[in-house]
Amino acid sequence: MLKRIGAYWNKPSKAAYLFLFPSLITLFLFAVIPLCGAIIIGFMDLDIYFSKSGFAGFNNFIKALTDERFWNALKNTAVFALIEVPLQILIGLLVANAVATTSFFSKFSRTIFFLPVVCSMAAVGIMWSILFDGTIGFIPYVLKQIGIEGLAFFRDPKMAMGTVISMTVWKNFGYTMSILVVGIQSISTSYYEAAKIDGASKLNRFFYITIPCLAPNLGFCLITNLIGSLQVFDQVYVTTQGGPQYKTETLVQYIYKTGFSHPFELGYASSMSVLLLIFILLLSFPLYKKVFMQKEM
Amino acid sequence: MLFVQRFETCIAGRMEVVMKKTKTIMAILLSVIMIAGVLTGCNSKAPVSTKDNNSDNQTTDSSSGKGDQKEEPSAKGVTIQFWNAFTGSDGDVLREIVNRFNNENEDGIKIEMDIMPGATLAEKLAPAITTGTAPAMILAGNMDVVQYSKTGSILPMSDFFDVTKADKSDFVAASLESLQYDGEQMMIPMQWFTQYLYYNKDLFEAAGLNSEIPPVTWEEVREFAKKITNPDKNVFGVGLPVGGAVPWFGSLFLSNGGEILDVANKKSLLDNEANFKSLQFVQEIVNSGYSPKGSTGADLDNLMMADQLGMVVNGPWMVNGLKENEINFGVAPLPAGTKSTVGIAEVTGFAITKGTSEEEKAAAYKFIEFWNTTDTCKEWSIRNGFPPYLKSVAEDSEVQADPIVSVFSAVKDYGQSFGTGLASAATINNDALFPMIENVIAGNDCQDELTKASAKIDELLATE
Repeated sequence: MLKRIGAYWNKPSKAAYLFLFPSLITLFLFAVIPLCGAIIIGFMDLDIYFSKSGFAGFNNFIKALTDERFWNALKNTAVFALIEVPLQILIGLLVANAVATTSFFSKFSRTIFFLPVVCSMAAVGIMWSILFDGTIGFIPYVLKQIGIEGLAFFRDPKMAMGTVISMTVWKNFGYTMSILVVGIQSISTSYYEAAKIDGASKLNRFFYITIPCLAPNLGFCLITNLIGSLQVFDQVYVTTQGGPQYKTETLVQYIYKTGFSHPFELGYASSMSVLLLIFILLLSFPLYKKVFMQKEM
Repeated sequence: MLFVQRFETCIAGRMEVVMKKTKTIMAILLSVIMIAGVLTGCNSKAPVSTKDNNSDNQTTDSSSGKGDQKEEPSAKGVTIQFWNAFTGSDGDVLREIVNRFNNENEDGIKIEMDIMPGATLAEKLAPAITTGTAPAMILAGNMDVVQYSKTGSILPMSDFFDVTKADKSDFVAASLESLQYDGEQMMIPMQWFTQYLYYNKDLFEAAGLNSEIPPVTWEEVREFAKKITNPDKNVFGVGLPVGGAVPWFGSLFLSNGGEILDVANKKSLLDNEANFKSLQFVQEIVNSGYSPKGSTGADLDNLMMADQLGMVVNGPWMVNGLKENEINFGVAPLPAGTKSTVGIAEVTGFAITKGTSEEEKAAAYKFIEFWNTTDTCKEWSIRNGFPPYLKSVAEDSEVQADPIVSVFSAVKDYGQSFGTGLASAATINNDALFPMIENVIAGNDCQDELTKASAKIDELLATE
């Protein structure tokens, strides 16, 4: 019996699933079950203490679509994603192109640029909050010395979102860079040599060899960064808590506040999570199709 | 997918049968270990109490919280968890007192204390109560009483004075009343306080002001702030926080004759002429550059500790931080408005959470009883400057002679509760009043903001 089981799982194609099994279990426990739970709770009038419960139908979804703060949070999230994602990819690409060689300086630079990625967002958020504090921060102090005064960064409604975006790009561009460096290093040098012989400039080689060859890597970065950006939470939670004047309150931040502080409305928070999931699917699926499926065809 | 393909190719290659078997067994083992790891990860240690084997009375049903015919539960050898938000230097004093109780109590009770920021505590506590992993004892404010009571998150403590030696008549009645709901005593006082005006004596002197004479009216606060403000040195006259702070604006509104809620707490009265003038006053101070724009309570604490802020309204917990940072500070009762002096009074209380067993509750009662002795409360008052709520402490000559405690005792003169009986009292502050102040300080129209905040309060009151 054991022999038969052993023989069955010994097949190469089956053994691979054994290795995938733990990940699938994790995915099932921490993604599929919570997702199904959120969808069910989204249709219920439920608070976190379970002191009230009942079927709410589409009431929570209707409430979200008529809630001014929900639309404000959605707008902030969209602004964040639309600026942060391209900026991060652009900076990542330029830096990757500059440090993709195997020289010591390039390797050293890559390490330095990757350092913020391994730091926790909470630590980075606290560091930036102190550095950019309008009254005791080092950066405003330096700016004041050169005649630029009155910048409050995280506390200024006009600058807060920009500061949060800058911080996120600074923290994460190293990740994009590392993926693109691998992509650039896997491009055959014969392309560049041929282009050089044909007299192509550095810029031409970048635009006509590097970028087209990096398309799958760029596509991967675009999709993962976009999904991450639409779920932006920790940097806002640590630095601005959604303020000033709700200018940096993102959708996940609002969902969290609704579910985990007064009035602890789990049902309403879950319905907004479901709406966020729909938005992410609507945005990322066509992108995924365009970037990956075309290639397979 | 690429990884899987490579893996398959590798396996399909030239590996020996024995190697194959070994790999398969390893794969199964690895899977089992990883799944076990995942499942173990799910079973995180709950912060519930533990009890020594020698203790008896395994009664666990405590939903009523009332004493009955059952054998009295024993607190001997019980360990309980205790969550609170004393993240400041007062937390160090609290920790010392808890440690002393742990070492000295004859019942072998152990209190394991976990201090976290107030917002974190509120966010962690709700799911912990629902999942049965809440600590036995917490500290919460009087504004939380209704919310926690309505949702059944905390147990009634009306039997506290029957089963302990604590003397009910020694408590100032208002301190107990503010922690009641529906006729039941839901929490037992731990401290009470209102707001006070802290000022930096060095900055007063640098501005040519007498450091022994603090401002007594809000108008004087503005005049003093003007003199203290020095943009070259990044010094501000007064701090007006837009969040993460005591609700200082409530005191300003009420002392200028404005109102926030009607007597029955059913309707917003925020939108009135007196409050409009108060908001204009705030806006003028900020626009004149006497106060930093958009600062939170924590930002202003930093400024005070850095000798860059002349005056700020805060609670008694600020004293230790200022002392530790060797700031030459003074503390005064809140300034008067055009009508009177009013400070929003708050009471912090001990609460027992839902799901706590009778033994754990008995252990918590022992600690609360220990806290509410004259000696412990006196120590808390003297070391932290908190005004006493026990009459025996208030009458103590050493307490009366303490200059800071005597100022803080003004709570009995101008302390006024806010939102009693409302589940949304804290939300009114956080989601209506603080955003209104933030918008006014940012330069929005005062009347628009009043109207908007008033509508928001009515919306919140409708959910009661």
